[in-house]
Amino acid sequence: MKLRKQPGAKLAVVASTLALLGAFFALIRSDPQIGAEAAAEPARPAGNYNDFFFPKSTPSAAPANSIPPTPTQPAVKPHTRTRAS
Amino acid sequence: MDATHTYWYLTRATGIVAYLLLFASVALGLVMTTDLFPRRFERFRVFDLHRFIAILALVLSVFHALIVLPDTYIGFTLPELLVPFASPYRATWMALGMFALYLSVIVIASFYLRPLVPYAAWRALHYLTFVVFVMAVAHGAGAGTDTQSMWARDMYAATGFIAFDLLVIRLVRGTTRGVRKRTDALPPRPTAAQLLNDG
Repeated sequence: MKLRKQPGAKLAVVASTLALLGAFFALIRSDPQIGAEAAAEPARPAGNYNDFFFPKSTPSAAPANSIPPTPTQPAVKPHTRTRAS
Repeated sequence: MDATHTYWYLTRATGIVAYLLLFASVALGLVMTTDLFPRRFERFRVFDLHRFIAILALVLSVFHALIVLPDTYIGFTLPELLVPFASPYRATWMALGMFALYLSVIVIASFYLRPLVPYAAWRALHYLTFVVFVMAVAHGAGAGTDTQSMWARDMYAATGFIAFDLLVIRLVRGTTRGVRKRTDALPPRPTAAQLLNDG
């Protein structure tokens, strides 16, 4: 990149680029939606921004002393009788 | 969270600015070759600026791609950033960004190949810029976290619309490249015989 031709115009482009970078960095950093989600999320050693911004509901392993799951109720036989029968 | 995500914010900010620079370069290139171009500007100066902005966009794009390497949260590796479809994060949209980056290297190299290759071949190569632009829009809209924000969607829509309009104007009205009105024409150069007679 030669600045020798039109140095004023090129420096103006570079200055505008840096100003835009600063503005967008500030805008992104202050994004309330992403800021709130990030604050609610505990720090993790490694992760994925897909999960970070769009968390999946993954099932967690139940502790050993937790209440055992209740046996499934037998399905109630639907009332199939009609007035005619 | 700020220290953890600084690299992520940086890659997003540089990606957006690189896209805006690419748009500026494309728009300038299209305006420069149509009759929309104001006659008071010298074309070679604007061409020089067009090339400078394109190179700046490429530099920022490379920075945008590599600045996520120190980000330990997502943990990208270099091959995941350089090899299309190897990324664990939105692989297709990321691949489009990589293709756009590689193609823009070719397009910018073509600036310097212009004296070496036939004009038609150079022009065909330069038209790859439109492919790069479309890929950059798709990459930004598909992989960008900010696409959820209204301002980002508006930005992609506005820039895409302007670039498309300029392309249509260029296709409909044709190029003014090499065309000069008689009033702008330079006086003919004196021949050797005339110079001798004057002397």
